Amino acid sequence: MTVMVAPVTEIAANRTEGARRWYALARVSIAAYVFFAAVFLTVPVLIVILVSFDTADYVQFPPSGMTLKWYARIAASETWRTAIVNSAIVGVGSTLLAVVTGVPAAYLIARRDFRGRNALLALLLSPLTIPWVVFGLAILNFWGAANLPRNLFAIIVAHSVIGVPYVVRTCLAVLVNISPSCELAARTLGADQKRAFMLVILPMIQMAIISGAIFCLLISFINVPVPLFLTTASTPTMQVAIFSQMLSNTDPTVAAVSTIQLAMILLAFYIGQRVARLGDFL
Amino acid sequence: MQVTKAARTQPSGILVLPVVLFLATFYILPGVFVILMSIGHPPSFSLRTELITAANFERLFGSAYYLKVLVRTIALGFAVGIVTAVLAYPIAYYLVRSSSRFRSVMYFLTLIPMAVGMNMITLGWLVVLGRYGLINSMLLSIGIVREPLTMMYTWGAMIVGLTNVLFTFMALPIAAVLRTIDPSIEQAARNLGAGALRAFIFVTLPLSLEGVATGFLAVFMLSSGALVLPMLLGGQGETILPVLIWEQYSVANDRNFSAALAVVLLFFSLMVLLLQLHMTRMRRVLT
Repeated sequence: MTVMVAPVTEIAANRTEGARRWYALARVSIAAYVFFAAVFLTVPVLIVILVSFDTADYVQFPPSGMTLKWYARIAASETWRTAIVNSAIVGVGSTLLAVVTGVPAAYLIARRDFRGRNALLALLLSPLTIPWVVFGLAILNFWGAANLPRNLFAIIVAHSVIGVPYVVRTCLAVLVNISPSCELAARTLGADQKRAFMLVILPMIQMAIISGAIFCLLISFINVPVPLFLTTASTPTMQVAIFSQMLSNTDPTVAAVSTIQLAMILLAFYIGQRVARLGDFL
Repeated sequence: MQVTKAARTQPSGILVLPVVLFLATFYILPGVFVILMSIGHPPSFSLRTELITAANFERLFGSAYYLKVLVRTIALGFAVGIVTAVLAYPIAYYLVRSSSRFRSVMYFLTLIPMAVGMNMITLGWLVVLGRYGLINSMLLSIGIVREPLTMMYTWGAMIVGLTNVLFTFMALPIAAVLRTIDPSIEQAARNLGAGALRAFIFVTLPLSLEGVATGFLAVFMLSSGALVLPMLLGGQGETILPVLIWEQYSVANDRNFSAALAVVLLFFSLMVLLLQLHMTRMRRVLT
């Protein structure tokens, strides 16, 4: 038995040969489990990417050959192109709407103590808790009763309701750590309130705003139930088109569109991480 | 003088007006309207109180079929919550305590399900579990089975798929709580003679249960409100509430009944929300 000096390892050294074997076993099983979890988390996604290059006419595994024809088919299809563009419009539009309404509210909540502040915060965060199916059905019924046209604007509005909590949460997390004396200093130096916000606070919370915006964009891309209720034949969206294609027949086109969607999401994530350290807000 | 000056630096209340108006119109009103429709109001804004009835809820709670759907929805939430907690806990622990280089890779992998969404993961599991899918082709080539197994359209397929989709929502809250626990507490137990397992079970695990509870509530809510995956991986006999809502709306075209079902699901999620608020308040009292 080797002699060790540190007190903790000394205890370990006093353990029997059996105990040490037990530790080795524990180490191996932890490594094995982490490997298993890594496979579990990645395999379904990797498989979809592989299938999108498969030559077979239906979804199967393993792939029988390599081709880009499904991507070519998407590029050639008016419907798929419109769906992808529509989803991008919805994503950007709803994100802008959520940021424009959410950031001022977060600022007020952080800076002023007023009656009903907690209630307001609960309201702003509550869309996180409402099942998307329920909200989709509710806003569809409302939209129909109000005789509003079911166009892309309906989906933009619905998605930004869902996006508001993400903007408020990330901005608030940063705002509560900014001392009010920052604005006070700007005010003392002669800036009016608007100027103090634009020149002092906004630069300090811009990373939070960008991160919140990217969460909005992401949620808009992956939300299926809400656009499922609101989408019509004239306003197809990517996520609903993928879903209905999965319901009817699955040729690898679905896999190819999913891969394109994944690429869009990863790009947004990457930009968010580089520009605004998105990971800090998770 | 100083007080009034400080008061003047506070932003004006007008700042919340846009978001409050926006949410009141496109969030609160639709919510109220769906509740009205669940009690028989026609899908229009002219108030018709004479049509108010409890018939939709009587139909819902009077039928063995709908009650079964309700119970199944809650059971699915519990099952996915428990499986996810058991599977994600070790990974959360690994993410916080490991010094391995693979740790940051694993952190990225943990975020994948949240980022790619339900559509893609559902498609992935359709390929893994399908008749001509990954598992069947492996089993057939080894010769363990002669006929492809039916794994899709089962309760198990739904649980496996949802566990994958919601893994992030369990792992992150657990990791967040584990990060706040000082490793020296566990070390103290070790120095007092407890084995690694004993120290973990009696010291670290109880301290981290709050993270498990937070994750469990989120996963419970998200899985009992899921539509895409249960619709594609669950079978005819496995219908859960969100799928039923969609079917009653799109196939049966019964707007009032689908609204009633939605109100029941909404009630569940509000209960979960209350529980969550209660827990955070408890924590504030405790600390």
